Amino acid sequence: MNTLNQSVQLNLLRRMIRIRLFEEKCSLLKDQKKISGPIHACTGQEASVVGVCQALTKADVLISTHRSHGSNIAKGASLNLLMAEIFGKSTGCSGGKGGSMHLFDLEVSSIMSTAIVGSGLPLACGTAFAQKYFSSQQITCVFFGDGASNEGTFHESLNLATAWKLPILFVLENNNVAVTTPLSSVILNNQLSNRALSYDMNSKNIDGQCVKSVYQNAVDSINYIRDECKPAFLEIKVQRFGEHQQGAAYDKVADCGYKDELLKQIASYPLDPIKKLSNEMFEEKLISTAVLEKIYMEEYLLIDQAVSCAEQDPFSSSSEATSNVYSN
Amino acid sequence: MHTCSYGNAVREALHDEMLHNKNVVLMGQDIQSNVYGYTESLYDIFGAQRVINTPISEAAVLGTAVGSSLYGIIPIVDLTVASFLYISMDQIASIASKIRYMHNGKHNAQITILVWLLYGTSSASQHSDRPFSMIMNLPGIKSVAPASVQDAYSLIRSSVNDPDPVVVFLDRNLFYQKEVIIKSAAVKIGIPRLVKPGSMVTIVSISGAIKNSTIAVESLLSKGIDCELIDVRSLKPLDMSLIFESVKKTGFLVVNDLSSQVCSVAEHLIARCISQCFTHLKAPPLAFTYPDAHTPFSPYLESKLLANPEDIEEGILRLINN
Repeated sequence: MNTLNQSVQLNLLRRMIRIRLFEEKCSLLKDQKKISGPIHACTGQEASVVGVCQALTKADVLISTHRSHGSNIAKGASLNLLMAEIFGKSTGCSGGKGGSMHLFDLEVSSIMSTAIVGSGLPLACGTAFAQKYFSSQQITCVFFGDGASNEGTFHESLNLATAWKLPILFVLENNNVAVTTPLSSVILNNQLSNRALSYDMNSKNIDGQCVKSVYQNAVDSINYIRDECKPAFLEIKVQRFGEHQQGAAYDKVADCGYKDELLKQIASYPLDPIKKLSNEMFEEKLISTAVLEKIYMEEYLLIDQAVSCAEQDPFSSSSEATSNVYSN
Repeated sequence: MHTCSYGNAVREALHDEMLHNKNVVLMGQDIQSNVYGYTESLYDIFGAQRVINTPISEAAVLGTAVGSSLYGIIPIVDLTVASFLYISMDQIASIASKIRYMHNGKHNAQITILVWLLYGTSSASQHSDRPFSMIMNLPGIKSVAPASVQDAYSLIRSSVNDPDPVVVFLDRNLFYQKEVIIKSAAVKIGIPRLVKPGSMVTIVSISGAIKNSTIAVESLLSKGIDCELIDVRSLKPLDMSLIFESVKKTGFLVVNDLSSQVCSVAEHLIARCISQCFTHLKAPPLAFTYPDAHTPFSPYLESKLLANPEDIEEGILRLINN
């Protein structure tokens, strides 16, 4: 594995910090009851979205899930657009009609975050079909979780992608749990990258706590997809540091033995991906404490600004509630 | 202008759209050598890149259609049988119907879904559904049900060119019906068809129910009862003006529908007419629908489910004589 240069590593670190601070801010806003609806934070899983999305070009298409903040931010989406949407304001990406689970930013080709588990994979087959039809050289990247690997659409889409040789990067973030159900209780073999192998798809299994490893593997897979015009699969083992979602009285519902299990898992997990990279960069003298603090301050400011704007922006007019159902 | 069967009109509409725009792509099971003939020779003319035999993965194929439509493809998905809508339903309901709304207009899914109604062909319950209501109830999805050869041709073309997802319900029972068609006679989605003007009773007909409706209307005319026959041909949107005017003129509303009774298209249309034409009604509206039951295999048993022309005639006579 090649060593990544300092600017690449700094960029990966900054993006992960941006996501972490964004998620912590959303969590705080939720506690303060300043935003409605469920928030599905990706705290702890930053390395997988950053490592993959930073290996994509701006024009490569991204499709994500309800856990949509991290992948959108990693792809380069406007923080103001996202935060305004979380606040339900007219300046949000959907004018307040989508919310936290459905963030997108067409400027960076992050086209849809869909919350029905497994529903993004067929969509990815579609955008990839068009990319191939028009020889665009772009690819489609679709994120989903371990839970989705049991949906029919997962299997249908993997088969279709290999049979039709579609330029798709399938990214499975395996955090070993679907809401509160441990993966091991619903499948026999938790090496989910094997499922892609059974469709004769190029498939890799990666430690999701090491952003450099994620990034380099993603670069290799994406090059493969572009060169061969065939799909590839990445299973990225990650650790979700929080609950499935925050909000909608979830704390009361999730007050059971599972929570202790999760806390035990978090405590036993090797390292926070942000701490892991910054520690390694300290050791290699690629970063100083001052620079790290500066990054945190700058990113915190960006997010704070996004919140300020979102708080001040207006809600959409009431006629918007029924607009854009049809084109005409 | 030429004579054409309903089945051939479908084929010609697909052909003409594919000729007109090279981004129109047809996807479906067994369409390269189609059992029924409605995609015949399209594969020879347009090739494997545009006439695609799909695996039996309706959900993935439907999602593929939506995704590709976001990047310049105009997909037509042939799901073959109306009952097969169910297995792709989440992609229709959660993705296709919502993608424009959820993104506040920044996306639209210009896709066309073709399905055939196989009731009346001894295909038993799993192949014989008429799920109009289920599709009509989804905001964001349009649907049409052409009941004439001209409309089969023109409405498919309008549907392919409509920027929103459109489900086209084609009736297998009309497959061999022949008519003269004029290709340039475009038909807009949402406008019903006045089949026969009349003054005494309004009959609104849905899809293949037009066959029995037409026979009943002729028989009633010979008895001096002049019915006005309207074929909706579109399910949603549907401009109700023609129907409201007709009901206000005649005072009697009869709806001949293929849906199962509960939440049927008939009940929906009747509710709207009562709401707009209440003071003009001389009798309660009359609906002919499938009962709340499935379709049996045996042709004898199946024949008991749909109103035949005698049932319709009898019902109308009772309606106007009371």
